[in-house]
Amino acid sequence: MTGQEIMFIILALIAICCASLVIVLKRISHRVLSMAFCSFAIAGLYFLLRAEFLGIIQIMVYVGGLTVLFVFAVMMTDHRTTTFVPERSKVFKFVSFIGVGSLLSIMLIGILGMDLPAGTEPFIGTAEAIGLELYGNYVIAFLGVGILLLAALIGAIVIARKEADEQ
Amino acid sequence: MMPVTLFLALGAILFCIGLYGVLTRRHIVVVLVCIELMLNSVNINLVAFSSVGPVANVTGQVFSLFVITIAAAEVAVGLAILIALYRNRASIDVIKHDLLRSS
Amino acid sequence: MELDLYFSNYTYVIIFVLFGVALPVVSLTFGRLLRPKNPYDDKLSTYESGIKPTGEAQIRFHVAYYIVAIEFIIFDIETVFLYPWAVSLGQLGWVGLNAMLIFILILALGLGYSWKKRVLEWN
Repeated sequence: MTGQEIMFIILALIAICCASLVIVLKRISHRVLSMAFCSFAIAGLYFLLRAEFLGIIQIMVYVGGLTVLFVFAVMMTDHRTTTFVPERSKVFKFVSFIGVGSLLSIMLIGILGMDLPAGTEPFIGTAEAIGLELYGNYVIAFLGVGILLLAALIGAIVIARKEADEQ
Repeated sequence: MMPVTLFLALGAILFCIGLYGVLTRRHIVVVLVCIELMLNSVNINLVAFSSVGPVANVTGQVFSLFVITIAAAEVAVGLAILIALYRNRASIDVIKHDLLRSS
Repeated sequence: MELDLYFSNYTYVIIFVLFGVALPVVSLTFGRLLRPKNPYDDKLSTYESGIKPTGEAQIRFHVAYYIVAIEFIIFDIETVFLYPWAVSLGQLGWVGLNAMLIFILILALGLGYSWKKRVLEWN
């Protein structure tokens, strides 16, 4: 077993365990923290796949940005007084578990039955390679992302801001 | 070189964990976190095909960058809607926000 | 050859991460083993500059904090797109420069909107 395979197994186990903890844990802050660790493990997988720029971006955006956003949103809402009764019915949970489980097994059978040859030209996903591809072939999509970000910024401010006006 | 199928299997597992969370949890923040997990698994697939797929190409990583951007924008707007909902209806339970449902 | 260099470079990162995890774990465990343990109520209470703590920690915060977080994440994404642009600008030429100028202009519109709506002010 090579070092890469050992790293893959460790990182995949961390990612799966943290993703399960997101569902299992009780407190909301623990769940958000668990998502941050899951993102860390996935960033490690990107480094393993030689996409080092994306790994850095994953840590920057998910761990550095989105986790903070989630924590702030939890702080905005008074999460202790909200109650969750009645609980979702056991039947619903069971049916969704069966459905998701069968979907997963079908996907796994399909994936592991495939015999995909590995690429012949390995490359490293540096920032320069991504920049040449992004600004060479996808300029319009890039400007679309700019408009999307503008819409998200203005929309989020408009929706979240009413309270500040009232006070 | 590692086979691409291992990464695809990991992506499928993470996607199904996220899907189960979206279906069964009732806290809006948890639902959004689970959607983030699903988008992460999509990113794993894109990067795996881009690096060790049959036709290795950097385009997959560019699209993964777009997915990360859209995830961030979606969380920003989604959590703003959560704050507005909490202000108006004092609840962050998914089930209680079904006013648009007929009957 | 280049790939071998890539992975051997990242072994240093792995060693660094292992040390970074081990340092707090080992030092806290040794501290727990060595220190005397004598908890009482005054010592366990929350530290609030020496006076008695009042109120609770889990209050509802003002929404302005959240809006600042949104601004942070949007412009965080902008820097994400600036890095690959900066290192490949020499080969991109005027098209890349113009695209990034338009992008920054679009996001500057958002900044101008939030400035005009006075969400950046604290009072």
